[in-house]
Amino acid sequence: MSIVIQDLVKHFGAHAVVDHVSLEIHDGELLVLLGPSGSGKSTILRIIAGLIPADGGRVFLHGRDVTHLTPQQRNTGFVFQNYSLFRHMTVAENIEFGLEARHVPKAQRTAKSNELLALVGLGGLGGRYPKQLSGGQQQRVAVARALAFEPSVLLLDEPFGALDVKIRAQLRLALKEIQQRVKVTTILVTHDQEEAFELGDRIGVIDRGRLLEVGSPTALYRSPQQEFVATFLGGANLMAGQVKEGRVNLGSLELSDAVSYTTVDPEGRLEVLFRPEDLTLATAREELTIPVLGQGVIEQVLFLGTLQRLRLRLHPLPNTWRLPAEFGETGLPIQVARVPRSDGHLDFQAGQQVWVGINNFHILPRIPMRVLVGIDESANAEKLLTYGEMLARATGGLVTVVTMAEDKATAEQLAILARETVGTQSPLMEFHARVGRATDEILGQAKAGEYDLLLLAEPRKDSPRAETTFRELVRRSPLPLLIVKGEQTTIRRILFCTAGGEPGKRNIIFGGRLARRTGAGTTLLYVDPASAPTFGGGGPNRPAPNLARPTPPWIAKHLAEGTLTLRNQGISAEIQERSGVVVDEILKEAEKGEHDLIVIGRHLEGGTARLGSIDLTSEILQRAPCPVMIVTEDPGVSI
Amino acid sequence: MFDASIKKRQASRPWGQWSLRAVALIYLSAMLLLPLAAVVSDGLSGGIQGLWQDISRPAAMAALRLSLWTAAVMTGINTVMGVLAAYVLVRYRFPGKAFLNALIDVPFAIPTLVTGLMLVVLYGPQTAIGGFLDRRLGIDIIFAPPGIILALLFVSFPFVVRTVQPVLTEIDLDQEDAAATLGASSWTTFRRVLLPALAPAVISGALLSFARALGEFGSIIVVAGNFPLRSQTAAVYVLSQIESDNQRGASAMSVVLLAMAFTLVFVVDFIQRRQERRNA
Repeated sequence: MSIVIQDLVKHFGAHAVVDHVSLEIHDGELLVLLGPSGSGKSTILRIIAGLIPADGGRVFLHGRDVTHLTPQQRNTGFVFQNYSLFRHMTVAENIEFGLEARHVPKAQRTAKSNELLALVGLGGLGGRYPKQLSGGQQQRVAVARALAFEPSVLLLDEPFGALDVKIRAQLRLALKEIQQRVKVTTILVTHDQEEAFELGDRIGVIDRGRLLEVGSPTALYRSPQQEFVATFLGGANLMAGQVKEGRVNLGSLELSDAVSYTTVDPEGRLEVLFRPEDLTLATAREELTIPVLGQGVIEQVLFLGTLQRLRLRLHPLPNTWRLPAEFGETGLPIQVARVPRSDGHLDFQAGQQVWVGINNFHILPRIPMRVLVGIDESANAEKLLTYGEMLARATGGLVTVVTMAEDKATAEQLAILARETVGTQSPLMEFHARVGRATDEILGQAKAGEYDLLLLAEPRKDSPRAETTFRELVRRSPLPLLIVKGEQTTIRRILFCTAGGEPGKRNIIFGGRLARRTGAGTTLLYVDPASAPTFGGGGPNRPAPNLARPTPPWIAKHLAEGTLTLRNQGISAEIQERSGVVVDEILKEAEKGEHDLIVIGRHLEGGTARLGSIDLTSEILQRAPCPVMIVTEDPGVSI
Repeated sequence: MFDASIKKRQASRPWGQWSLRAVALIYLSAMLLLPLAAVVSDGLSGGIQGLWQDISRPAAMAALRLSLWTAAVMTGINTVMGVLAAYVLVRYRFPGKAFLNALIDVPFAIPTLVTGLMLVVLYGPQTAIGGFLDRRLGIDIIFAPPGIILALLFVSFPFVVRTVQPVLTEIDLDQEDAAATLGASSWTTFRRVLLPALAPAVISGALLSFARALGEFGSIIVVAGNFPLRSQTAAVYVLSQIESDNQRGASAMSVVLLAMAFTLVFVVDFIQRRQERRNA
């Protein structure tokens, strides 16, 4: 192995830029690290070169542990995006710089620089100054300079980023050729998927500091394991499938009988991926000799030279939806790519009804957590979006942001603001503007069963209407609700409150899912309402009675089962028992244990709360210093 | 495009443009060129020969020599320390950086007489430091060349820092990183990569501080006094000649100082223009 990276970690402030990355690169291989900007891929490269120290982990180059060596001692060739040539030196002097630092005699240096100039196709230009060369030529010089001292590895940081498309294509070919001729182990960092496909022997996909998958371009394109990889590489249609009686179903279509697909979803949900070119269109169903997905309408036909790209909308199919879930639209939008007829005639037109058949598909084992974020005029959108983004990042999930207002202009304005607040071009976040009553819009969508969690902001104190809307949502939401309040923007410790045995298994399972994905620790809290039946009614001023009673056996059993459930999933869980005024004790424990998320069941006016008629949920919501998650016990909603 | 639109505008309003230029040029002549011409013609009223006679007097030569060598020593120290200060201010983060950065401009703002006073208060023979240096080491600061150099260091400190700082900010950190990955030690990187890029700015800053030092008067008269042949610099010599009613002697020395100042300013201007062309 030429390059081995073990468990690399790098933080900038509290933000993990590189999050436990391990990677092995074979001798002479060209590995491309592909990811969106800000994903940490350049940081990894700089850590390998020794330009940035790692916070944790090790780097080996040709078996030598270089983790604590200086850049000078590592012998890596590095090519920067902006070339970074020394402007006051000639091209030859630039190339010879690394040899000069190694005290190589002048004659040998000259010979080497001439050889490299020929290799990169700039023979005879050694006497020029960098500013006399074009961008593409300068980058060739930078490659020659990085190779001159025969480095143990070559590291390229977005080397073609500053060049125009045509030069980029030329240089890509040239680089591949040079790399194969010199046989130097190479890592190239880029955000350009085309570049990754063309150059990489293997590709590693990075997102938010995590190395998601490594594989050959074909393997990653055809059979990705994660949704981000599937959508980041090329066009992707993703739909929700389900394992039923040993078969994978997609809508009314049975796709496969081999259920070697493991799914972590209790309902057997999984994701079906088909690429635009995996689909065949026909005007009549009988023309298709392959499994038929359904019928739809062509919305757009784009001519792209070799290919024709069509966007169409399938008529609704039972028991499936598009991923990420399309908000409030009917039908299933999909992309199709096909080779147009060679006589140049467009044989399909927008508006036409067509049948869609599937040639090929791939199954992703898990459907990521889907979060619905509701924003209306009264919400503190910024905090809500920050939290939503954090959740998406932590859970690898998909976030749909819905901005609601009673007129179109305001709703759209809110959506634009929301988009600006998030700022990144995350494929995991979607934005929709809706017109109408906030409760109706949100509940209508939430009922569709395509989301796992509804994220809301605490209502503003000065808006009675916001308060009413909020209460209605809390009362009627079929989804678990997470109310964002306080200053917390991470989930590190979750407090499950089980006063009088509430809440039940559901919130432990659902909260556990959050804990597992965020790496949070958990506490199961049981509060014995010692002064029943009038406990809690007096609020914070009422002294907590000091009567310690033994915990009833059925509650002890529930707590034990709860911790076991969590620990089975590798989540740290502890039990706390208190007695006194329920709300007070919950808040005390939350503060003492530095919890940043309180999970409670739904106890509302007129509800069936075991604790009497008081509005426990509202009181916790009002007084909690951190976000609160309310998990419903409605059996009808899947988790 | 932009240039063209400006030219068009100029063409369409020639009178406005010309009168504006005339005002600027007349003002420049009246305020700058006229006094300069007056001094030069006065200094040269005895011809080159006369000028030489005035300058070659022992007190004049001593004053000129003192000015030149103290300014040279100061420039040497200032150049090294100024580059260092600029590097630290640009490349490192530390508490109090903003304050320190602002502090660098203070010598521009303080009256130079006050600067001189500060040094006398600090190094005077009656003070702890001054007394120690005088008695134990036999070094005189006040009324002696070391005092002059200290005063010059203080008043011209900003020049090198402020010319180097912006250039250093513009140099990409990747340049230094590139040199490091190529195996160059930090000293080699500084010498081969950073310094050549900084050189024009460093030279400009050094020449400017040298020019500033030649003309320094206020702080020197307080620190060094006005002792001919011992602590009298060229600028102070001019004053003593005026005081003893030898206007031509004063003018002669002024002409020499002016000639040096002009040369230095033109050299700096030339270096900066060439640098701009190179960066374009």
